[in-house]
Order: sequence, then C-alpha cells, then structure tokens
Amino acid sequence: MIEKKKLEYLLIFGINAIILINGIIIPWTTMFTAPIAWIILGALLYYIYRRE
Amino acid sequence: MEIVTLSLTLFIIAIIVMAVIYRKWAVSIESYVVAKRAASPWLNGLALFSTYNSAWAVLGGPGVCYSYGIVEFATFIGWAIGVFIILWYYLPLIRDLGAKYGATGLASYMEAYYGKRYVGIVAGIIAWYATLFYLVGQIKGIGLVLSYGTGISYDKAASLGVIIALIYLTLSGLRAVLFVDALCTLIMMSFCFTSLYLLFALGGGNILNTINTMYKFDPRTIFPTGEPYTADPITLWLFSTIVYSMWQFTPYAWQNYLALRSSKKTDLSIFVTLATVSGAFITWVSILGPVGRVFLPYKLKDPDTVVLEVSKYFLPSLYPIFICGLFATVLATLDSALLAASTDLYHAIKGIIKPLEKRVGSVNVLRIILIGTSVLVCYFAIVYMPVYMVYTMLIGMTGVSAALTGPLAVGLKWRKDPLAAIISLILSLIIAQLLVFYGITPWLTGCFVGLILSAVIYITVTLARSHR
Repeated sequence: MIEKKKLEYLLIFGINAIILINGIIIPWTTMFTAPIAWIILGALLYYIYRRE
Repeated sequence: MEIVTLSLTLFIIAIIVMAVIYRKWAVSIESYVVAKRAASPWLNGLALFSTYNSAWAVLGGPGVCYSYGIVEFATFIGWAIGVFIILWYYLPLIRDLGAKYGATGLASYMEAYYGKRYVGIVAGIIAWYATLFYLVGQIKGIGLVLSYGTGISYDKAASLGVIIALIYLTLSGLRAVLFVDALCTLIMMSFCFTSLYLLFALGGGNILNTINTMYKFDPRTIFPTGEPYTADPITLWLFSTIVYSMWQFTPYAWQNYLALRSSKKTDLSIFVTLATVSGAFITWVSILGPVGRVFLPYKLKDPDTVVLEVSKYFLPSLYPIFICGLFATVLATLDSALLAASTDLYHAIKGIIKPLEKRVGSVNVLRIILIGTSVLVCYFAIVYMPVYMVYTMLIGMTGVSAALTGPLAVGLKWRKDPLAAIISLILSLIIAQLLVFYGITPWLTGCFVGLILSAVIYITVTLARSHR
C-alpha cells in the first residue's frame, strides 16, 4: 500500500510532467489531453482524501 | 447587431440584480473584500476560472497566434501546470495564515506574515502600480469588444465597461464579484465550446482536416518556431512553465484565495482543478488565431481582433455568444483586478487616510479608492490606447509575480526575513524591467532572470543577516 502523501506527489508531478512533454512534442493535441488529464487528476485527488 | 445588444443588456441587468441582492455584504472590510472567508470551492473555483483568463487570453493571445502560430499554447499550458502545483502546495498556507492574520489582500498578507509595516507599504504600492498597467490592457479589451458588438465608439464602450464593473463592485464587493465571475465562466465556457465547434465545422466534421489544412498552409501555424519569444520551442515550454508558475502570486487573485471556506484537501482539489482547466480551455479560443490566418480571405490590420473577425465571418448566428463570452471574460478579470489594486493601495496608505476613515467608514474609503483608480486607468486606456495589448498587460504582471518568488515562494516555505523580502522584491523587479526596457533580453527571459534573482537575493540576504 503506497502512502497517501507519496501517491499524491506521484500523481501531481507525474500527470503534469506528461502534459508538459505532450506539449513539447505535439503542441496542438494538448487542447484535448490537458483538460481531460487535469479533471482526472482532480477527481483522483478528491477520491484519495474524501474521508478526511 | 440588435441580438448582440439585447443579449449584452440582459447579461448586464442580471449582474446588477445580483449586486443589489448582495449589497448587505458591504458592512465591513472583511465581508466586503474577502466575503467573510466562506466561499464554496465550486463557486470560488468557477469564479477564478474567468478571473484568470484576461483580455490577453481571449484577444491578445489569439492575436499573437495569428502572426506566429500556436506559440501561446506554451504559455497557457505552462501556466496551468503552475496553477495546479503552486496552488496545491501554497494555497493551504495562504488561506489559513490569511484567516489567522485577518489579511485582505497581497499587501496586508505580506505585512502580517513578515510582521513589519514597511513590507505592507512597499508591496501595496508595487501591487497597485503593476495592476494599473494590467487594467489598462483589460479596458482596451472591453472597449474593443463592446464597440465591435454594439457599434458604439471605443471611448464610450471602454467607459461603459468600467461603469458596469464599478456599479456592482461598489455595491457589494467580492460576494457579487464571485457570482458575476461564476456567471462569466458559464458564458465563457459556451464561447470556448463554440470555438471548438468551429474547428470541427471547418474540417467538415473532422478536426484533423482543419489541422491538416493549417499545416499545409504553413507548418509553423501548428508547430511554432518559438517566435516572437526568440527561443526554441522546447526552451519556450520549459521557460513558460517556470515563469508562469509564479503567476499565481499576482495580486489580482488573492481575494479569491483568501475567501476560500477551508483548506481541506477535498475542497482544494475542486478549487484547483476548476482554476487549472481554464488554461486548457482557453487554447480552444487561441487556436482561432491561426484559423483566422488560414481561412479568412482577407488580412487583418490589428491581429488582436482576430477572434471577433473569425466569429463574424464564419458564425454570424453565434456571434452574440462570442461577444458576450469575450465581454464576460474581460469583465471578470477587470473587476477582480480593480478590487485587488484598490485593496492593496488602501492597505499601503492606511496611516495617511485615518482621519477620513473615521469620518466616512473604511468601506466607503475603499469605494473612493476604487472609483479613483478606475477613473485613472480609464483615462489612460482612452487617451493612450496601448497598441500591443500583450506587452502592456504581461510585462508588469509577469515581472511582479516573478519578483515575488523570493518573498512568497521561498519565504513561505523557508525562513522569514522582512528586509530580505523587500530587497529581493525591489531589486529583482528593477533589474528585470531594465533588462526588458533596454532590449538586453526578450521579456520572457527578463522575467525568468527576475525570478531567479529574487530567489537568490532572498536566500543570500536571509543567510547573511542570520550569521551576523
């Protein structure tokens, strides 16, 4: 079981790094990938901390 | 034209009704400026969505993309990455300390955090001064949109926009601003989706066709070279992410941060996600820049008008949505920036205006400052209309947010030293502005240098003083 804090760190920096790399390689696709990725990221973070 | 005027009038009436409903919130500075620190993350996040997106995002950005390809994608996506990371890690600190100290804006927060009056005075004056330039750009945006939509002259349109913002700002403060901004977000979203629809429609239902046509016309529209920032694309993306990360410390969103009801992680995830996604949605609008260059049969004199021209030419029936969306976006930033600038100036000159405050009450003093600031920026926007919106708006704000790296990004997480905060803020701001002003570096590089300098000066001065 990964610790919540580590999972949060991994998710935030991992997903944002993917968006950044995506933008550098094929800029125009970020207009679709970025909003989807951020909504998923926000939902996951909400899910992780929902019981606190 | 009549439909545009009608929908704008309906929108304006809705705003004023909201302001009248919430007029009782203007009883004390705490409820007038930070809405009693009880705003829900949904409302506040939606409001921040349109507060963040300025005239630059919907007019200036597409204007740059018209000339140089989708280069502004780097700044929007880079900035939104910064929104997520910086807000996630700093917002709990800003919100909770702000509530503890009773802070009402950037200047009062910095003064309370560092415990020295001079920090508040300097930060307040710098924040007010930088926001003035930013506001001039916003008012140009409002003037352009309203004069395009309704046919009235630019001067009248600009003044009308400011008067509308002033009506609800002076009536009920941040509470009305939050509701107006959330409403603006909903209108802006329909405007973003309309842009996306146009992208699909131009390719006969397939967006790849549209992208291909643009690529065949000029590959640089889709794969920008990094102009006008004089950087290669990879450096541009990385630079934008770093420089725009600090944009979250700009004075004009502080009221939203301080008004959040709690810093629980669940509330935080809603607030931060809503604020971040705006960066990605606004790329849907800015791609209309290259669309205008490829698909419009004529060349534009002022690239800043490309979104208006594209909507007028291709979607005349949906033109009212574009006008209302543009108006809503600019208005949402204008009101927050006006409130933030006035609050910061009010805090900086609190000592001088004490007699006046005793006579008319602090909320009324703030209202007077609000009206004074509005008249000043309106005068500049009309008499000296800025030709390059992007430069007027960004250099000042990006410079200030970069210069705040030391006192806020470093100072909030590391040791606090009031003298180091002020020295790093002033020195890095002056050096960055001089670098850009004398053309030694392009402005993004200048801001990057300011950012690094601010952090380095803060750390050096703090260490030197602690050794003494």
